[in-house]
Amino acid sequence: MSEWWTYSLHDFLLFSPRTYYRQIELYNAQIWPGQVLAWLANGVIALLAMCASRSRREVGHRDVAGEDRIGVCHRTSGNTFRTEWGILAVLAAAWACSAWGWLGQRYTTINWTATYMAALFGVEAAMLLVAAARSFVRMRSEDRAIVRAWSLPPVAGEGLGTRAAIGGSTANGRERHRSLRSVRIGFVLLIVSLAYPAMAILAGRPPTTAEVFAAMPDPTVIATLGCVVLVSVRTRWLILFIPLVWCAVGGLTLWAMQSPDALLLPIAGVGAIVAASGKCRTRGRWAG
Amino acid sequence: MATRAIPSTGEALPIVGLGTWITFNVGNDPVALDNCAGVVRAFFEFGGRVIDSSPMYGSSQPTIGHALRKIGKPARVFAADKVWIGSGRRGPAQIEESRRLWDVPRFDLLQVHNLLAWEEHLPMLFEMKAGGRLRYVGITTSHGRRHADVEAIMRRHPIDFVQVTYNLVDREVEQRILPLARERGIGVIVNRPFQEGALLRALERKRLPPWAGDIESSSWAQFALKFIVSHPSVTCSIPATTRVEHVQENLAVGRSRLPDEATRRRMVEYVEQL
Repeated sequence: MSEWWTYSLHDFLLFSPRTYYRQIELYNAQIWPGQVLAWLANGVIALLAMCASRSRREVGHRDVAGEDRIGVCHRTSGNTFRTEWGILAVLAAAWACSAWGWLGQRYTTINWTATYMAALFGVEAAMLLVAAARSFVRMRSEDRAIVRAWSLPPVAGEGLGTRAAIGGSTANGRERHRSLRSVRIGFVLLIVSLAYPAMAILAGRPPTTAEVFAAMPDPTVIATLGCVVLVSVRTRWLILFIPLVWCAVGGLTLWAMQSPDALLLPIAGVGAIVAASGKCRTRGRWAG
Repeated sequence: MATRAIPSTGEALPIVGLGTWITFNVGNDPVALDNCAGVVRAFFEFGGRVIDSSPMYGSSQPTIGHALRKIGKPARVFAADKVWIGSGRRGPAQIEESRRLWDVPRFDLLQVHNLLAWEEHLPMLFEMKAGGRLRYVGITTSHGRRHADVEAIMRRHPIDFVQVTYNLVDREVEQRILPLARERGIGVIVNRPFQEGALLRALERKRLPPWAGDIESSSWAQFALKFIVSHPSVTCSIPATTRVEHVQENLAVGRSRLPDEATRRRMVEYVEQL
């Protein structure tokens, strides 16, 4: 692209705002009442992610008592894995739905680059699915470790902590606790994703242009940012990469269309980066 | 409807055509598709012929196809499209796909869009013209970009048309490209006559000059369009619209008095001081 400095953001907009929101209207009519189920799914994973983040804090909170400590840690840790893989699996499905339903079927009719966006969303769905599978495996591994630990015969002088160590599992390792700021940002992101359908009305558009998790990319991305910030995902930054790219691209598109809500995505992206970069407090489970 | 002769053949073309950038990229919205068909119907009813599009314009090409089918495929359509692909080898396939979307037997004019891979596409287009599969060959640019390259191509290659941006505030082409087009016998199609609406939005709060009636201009759109099509080197301008009343307003320019050179200077001075 020669003379690239002469191009403005508006030069890359292939459609009018009216056409864009009209496509959302038609899409919403086509998938109704699927948006209700999608929003409920958003609510469920938001609740689970928030509880998962609180569970980790509770582990840290209780990490001062003696005998209670290991039992609580195991139970809580098992619960967080139990919800994490479910959260990630739902997110994977949401990204796949957005890729196929909106990007691949509707948006591509007015924006030829949407085909490539759909491919990226497919990659993200795959990564989330892999992360969900790994979380599931860890959960099962943790469950087996618990059974092994408690099935061993007692040895004189052995504490519960030693028994847990003998049982052994990766979950018996050091817990990482999100900072309060990170948790708060994650909470806000999830609440924004739930409230996103109302943005249409707040921006002066008809309710038929409301955008819902799993149906449309923007609320799906924000929900993903919130969840990934709150739950324990080993490949956090890999999973956050494509959502952050979308925050930039989607935000620029809305900015070019002069949409009142154009800044929401970029702010969400920055918030996620801050939250994911937040320092973690680390404690061993059976230290001391 | 006032016409200008295409320099290379003498064929008469109405001085106001129809662009399809943004306005016809409506996807599969049935309401919008029928609205565009209404625009095209009015366009032909009021004397228009030239419709311009490109593969870059999203779904504009199938929208044109829908419109032409709906109004009975008028024979008078002058189908102007573009080749827009980085690979010369894939140009013919893209052109064929465009033709299929338009649902026309062949294009009248094919242009290399924004000079993308022009070194590969121009020979291919000349070959199509020699084989009777195309009537005219052209190149395009916009926003005042790559004028030096455009000039060089105009000097070295026997193109029939050049498409450039020209309006009351973007007048760089007056210096070299418009005179060169006249010298070389190249037709000129003008894009962005209203800067995609920005020029009209800026002018609409201002009053038309009291002498606008002398050139039978009742709106800023007519005022701006008359400035463009009154240049002796311009063959046709292609404003885009989604509204039938705007089509009527634009095409009325071709049936009313056009400004002379002195009035054109006056028009520029008036807008500059606003």
